[in-house]
Amino acid sequence: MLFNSLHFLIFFPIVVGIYYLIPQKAKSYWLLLVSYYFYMCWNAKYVVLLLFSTIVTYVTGILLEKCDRGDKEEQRQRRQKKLCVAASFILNLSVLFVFKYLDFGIASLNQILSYVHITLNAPAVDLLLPVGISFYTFQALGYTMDVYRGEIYAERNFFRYALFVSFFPQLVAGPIERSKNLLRQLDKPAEPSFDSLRDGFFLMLWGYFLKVVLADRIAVFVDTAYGDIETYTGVYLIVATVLFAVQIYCDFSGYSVIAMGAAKILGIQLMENFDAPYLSASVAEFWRRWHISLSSWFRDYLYIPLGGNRKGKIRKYINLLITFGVSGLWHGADWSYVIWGLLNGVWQVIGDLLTPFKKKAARILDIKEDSLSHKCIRIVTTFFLVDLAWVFFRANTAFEALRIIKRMFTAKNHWVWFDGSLYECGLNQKNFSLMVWGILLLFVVDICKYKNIRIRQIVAKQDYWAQCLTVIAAVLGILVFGMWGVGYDAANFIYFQF
Amino acid sequence: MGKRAKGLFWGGVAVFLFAAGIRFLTKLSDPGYAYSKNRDFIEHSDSYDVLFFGNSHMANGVFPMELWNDYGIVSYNLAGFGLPMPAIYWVMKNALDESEPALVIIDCYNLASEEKAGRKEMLHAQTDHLPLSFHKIQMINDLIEEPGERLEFIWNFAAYHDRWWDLDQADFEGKVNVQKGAEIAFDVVSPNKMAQRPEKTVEVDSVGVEYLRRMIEECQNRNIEVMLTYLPFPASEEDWEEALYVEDIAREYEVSYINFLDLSVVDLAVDCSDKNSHLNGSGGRKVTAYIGKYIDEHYNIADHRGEGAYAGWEEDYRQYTRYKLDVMAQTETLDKYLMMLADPAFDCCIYVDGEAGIWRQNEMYMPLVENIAGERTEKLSQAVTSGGDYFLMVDNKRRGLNENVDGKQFSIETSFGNVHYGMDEKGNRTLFLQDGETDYFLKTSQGNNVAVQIVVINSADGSIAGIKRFGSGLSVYTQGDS
Repeated sequence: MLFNSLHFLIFFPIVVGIYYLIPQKAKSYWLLLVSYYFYMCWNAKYVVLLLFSTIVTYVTGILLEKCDRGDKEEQRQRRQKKLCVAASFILNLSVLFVFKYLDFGIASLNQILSYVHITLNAPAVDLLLPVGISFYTFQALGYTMDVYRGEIYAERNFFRYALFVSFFPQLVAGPIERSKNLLRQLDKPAEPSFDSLRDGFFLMLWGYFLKVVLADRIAVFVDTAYGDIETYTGVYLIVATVLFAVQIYCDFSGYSVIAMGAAKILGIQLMENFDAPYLSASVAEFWRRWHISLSSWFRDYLYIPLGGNRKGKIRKYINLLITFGVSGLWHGADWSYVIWGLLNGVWQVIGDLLTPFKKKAARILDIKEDSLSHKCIRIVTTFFLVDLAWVFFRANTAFEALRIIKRMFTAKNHWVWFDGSLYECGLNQKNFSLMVWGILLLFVVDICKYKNIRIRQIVAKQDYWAQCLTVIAAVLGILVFGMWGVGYDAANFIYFQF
Repeated sequence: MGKRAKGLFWGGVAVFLFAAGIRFLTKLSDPGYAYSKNRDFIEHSDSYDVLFFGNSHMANGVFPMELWNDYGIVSYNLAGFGLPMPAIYWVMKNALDESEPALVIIDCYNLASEEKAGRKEMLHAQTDHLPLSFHKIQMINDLIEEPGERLEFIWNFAAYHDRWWDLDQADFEGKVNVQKGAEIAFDVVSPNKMAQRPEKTVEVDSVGVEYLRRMIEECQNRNIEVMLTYLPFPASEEDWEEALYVEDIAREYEVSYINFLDLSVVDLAVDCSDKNSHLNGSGGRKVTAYIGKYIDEHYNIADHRGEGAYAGWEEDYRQYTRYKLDVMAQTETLDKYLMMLADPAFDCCIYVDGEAGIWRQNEMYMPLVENIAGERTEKLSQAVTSGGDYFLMVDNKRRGLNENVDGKQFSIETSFGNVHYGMDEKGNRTLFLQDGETDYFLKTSQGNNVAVQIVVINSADGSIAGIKRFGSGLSVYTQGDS
């Protein structure tokens, strides 16, 4: 069930209506029921995997606490706890590996062996990737780690824990919630209020704008250009690559915002997943603002356990590259994703290495590092680096990505900027203009966010009539300018595939 | 006002404004084809005696305004392009909810099809105007298999919301079909060859047959007479099988059936608008005339001409004639123009400059001129063979025809006034219409590079309705054009 499907638009009000009417005690059970229904709408049999991950991590949590309680010596306790955590990780990651990475592993093995003239030809298993498996697996494993570290108590109520893993607004594409935040709220869901309802509704509207007005409109241009790189070369590819950065941001943050809004309407506060990422002045900052729930997951449960930056520069860089390499692999079972992740790691390593030189150069050239102009240059440079890496993310293969980059800079068709040819790449002039205005609006909203100005709070402070008109104009605008209905392939949110 | 009351008030205002906004946008974004095609039916649905159903064959083949003019029959053509039988069934069922005709005429082309909805845009074009009703929901559920695709038929906005960039003046002003649902095709094409008539009838078992039966039964349950047709076109062997099998169905239900494939009502050589299937205006008029005569002879359908309640139809007919003249005025090729002239609503004078040699340029010109004259020409072949000048005058009201190939001057009294064809003292070929009030230089002594000149007269009042000049390349001759 997609957030931008009619099915969801019928499902969600029913869920909310009943949720508001039933007693407090029954609310979590109702949410659990509808969350499983939500997941089963994709593929009912894959609910077994969700249940498996839930049971394994639930039992692990209880076992971890039992290990703490006995009179066993500390070292033995620690060993047993590590064993429990390892078992939970192995079981969960095995499922993830089989469904997501087995074919990639087989193909890579075939390829590697072929380099040494060994023909294996192991056939692909071709399993359907369960939607959201990477998200709920990581969320459940995060819980295991939190219990292991003693940051939270193990959840005893199985149903509540099952709801934590399967809470439908964030089940299939995040944010990957922390047990500390979500479990506590699910324990006693807050009574929904008018303010939370309004705030949630505003968030959902913004999310729908990002997804159906912007992301899906930009996708038409990007898909057209990337789908035929022989015809659409040079300027087309440059524009498409810049637009893809915006598309994936709108697509993914759109989903996250809708998820946050839906949860808020149910009285539950999910974590912010994006914080104006393209206003970052460095790649490291970008990753603190982009997909925050995943970045912080990797930081807390991979980068820091690997030693983080505590074991010297070299080790820090290696840890960074490992973390970003794994992050790339998490996004997709293909070497192009690994390269994308590694590139983001490499940018940060180079950035760190160049820091003293940059500072020195700034001092010599008398460049004020806190000036707006300097910051703008850093933002543009960061965008350029991040966007270059996105090419590997978007292209079908790493080799295709290289071809695209080459064609971007070698093909000479600069007249495309001026002769209207850009309007022949999937979007006509009016649609293209609408897209540009939409991106400008997004830019303004992100600047406000960067400066801690919350537009929806400003709207909420206005008289009721102004709020009414704003909401009506927003809904009608989304309905008219959104990409939906006939001819619209209710395109999955890009991040569903992960 | 308390907080709760305020909340309710503003909530109500928001819902009202939202509903009004949605309604406005739904109407604005709708391209309006279905509304314009069916507007007269929607507005006067209880006044029609005869309704036509079918697909494009019927839409292009029967013209209610001609039936009105010839027989005073009040009819509407509800046929829709590309509709398979199940979709036609539901169009009919929805129409019969609003109307009580005495006779329903169904064309049975595509009877063997297993399709239910056909192309979605075609279904939109024939059902968008229908208000949401029990039968409309039933129709959507029956025709559209995929539940996710039903929304766009329940709420048209789902199909058209992204037309915002395509809106133009017509979207704000509305369009009207002045043909009572029919659509004259204005092309003329030499068609494919028609297949031989099979010797035996083969039973057709299809979804189409099932729904045709349902249509007949629906009408008979409502005491509405049914007539089946199979309109003419260059039929294939499979089409013939359908047409012949309809005879069995008609016999079974004891309803009339006209198989036009078996009749020589049209001349496919000049009456087709495309190679495979559809009739053009000329062909449609012939079929309409035949059906009108058949209805007149076999059914008790009232002639409403002269009745005060139907006075609006006279003005509708004038609009319909104006529409045809507008299309003719915009026509840029001689073959289409000649096809459109084969219309009893128009008299004409055609002058062909023999030196232009048009007959060699397109072998359809000669049969098209014959088509205008009703195959009564005697001197046309002589002109074609000799390459001399040719003049033809058609006076439909008096069933008069005048041809001239030798250039001799003549004067004749017609329903549109006296006509004098001749030559002035400077050697210019001239034509004087309406007692010399209107004169035309058909050809100057120096030659004027005009291959064909046509004067069109509105038969209804004898007024000059248009003049068209085609140059030697047979494009529109602009100098002196009016």
